[in-house]
Amino acid sequence: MRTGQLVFEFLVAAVLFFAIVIYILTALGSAVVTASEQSQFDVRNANAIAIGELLMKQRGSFPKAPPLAMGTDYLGLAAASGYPTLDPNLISDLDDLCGTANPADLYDFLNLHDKPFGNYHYNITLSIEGETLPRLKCGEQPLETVQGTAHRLGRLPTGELVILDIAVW
Amino acid sequence: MADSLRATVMYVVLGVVLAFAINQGLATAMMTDKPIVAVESNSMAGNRPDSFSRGDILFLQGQEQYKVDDIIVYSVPQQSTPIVHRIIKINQDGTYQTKGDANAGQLPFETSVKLEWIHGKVVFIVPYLGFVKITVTEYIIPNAVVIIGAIIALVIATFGIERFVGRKE
Repeated sequence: MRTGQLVFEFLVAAVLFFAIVIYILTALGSAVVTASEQSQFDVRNANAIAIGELLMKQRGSFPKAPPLAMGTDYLGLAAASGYPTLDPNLISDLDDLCGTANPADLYDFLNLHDKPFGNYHYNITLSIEGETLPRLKCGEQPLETVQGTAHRLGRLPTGELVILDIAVW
Repeated sequence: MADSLRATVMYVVLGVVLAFAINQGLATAMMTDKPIVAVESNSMAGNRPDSFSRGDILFLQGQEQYKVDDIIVYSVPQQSTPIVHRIIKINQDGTYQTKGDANAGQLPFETSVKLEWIHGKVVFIVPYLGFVKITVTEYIIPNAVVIIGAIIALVIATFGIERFVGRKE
């Protein structure tokens, strides 16, 4: 064995030894993330868009007051005549439900439960063109934090424009 | 061969024991359960002197109170990966508000960080060493089968060459 070979092997062994020590040290302390705003925004925005799709395209069947039953109740405002027409009766029913339900009662239905960093929160506002007050308000008051939003347009069977805004944070 | 294998195993065991000893010693000295953590994402990268990036290792120190501008590591309940962000405000109820330096806004869980969630504040940064953990968890472990296969092939090839050379001599 030559001297150079010994030095090289020693260097490789020393680097591997310290790599093992450092790896175990960091593994014991766990990795930390800095929760980048972009990734958090993307996830919430995807949820807001999904809720928009759900409300616009699914014909709902839900009680006027809680509790809701997974598998038998469905949220959604779509009229029988199909997208993008919304059913005024379902809008009214959802408004009644939101008036009596705790916002958390709908987390499972809106897929906002057990998300990274806890449950997500939501706000759904539906306005009819020409009306001063929103026809439907559901959820919580938005915080001044990173939030995903979706803006959808539909119409009532009578032709009025419906504006649906969803925020998830 | 047997001596070499025994020495290798001894050094690996020594490395593991040393890592545990350093971790336990630092945990006691720095009054925190996580004295050393590795950074896995980039939202604290910036121009401030205490900014850090993905791949850096952070040394933490637990304290009874923290002040504005401290960079803290904390765990949000039901979230396994801790967050590292800077304190920007202390609320009247004693909770903290944090934000990532590279984030434009706060994330929802950052508006009320409780003292008991906090592991410690960053007191020392070692650049790049955290890439040992990142390399192992992101590249080596997912490709473990290929790497082990390559090592076995290399060992077989080495012994084959040695036997071939020995036969020729």
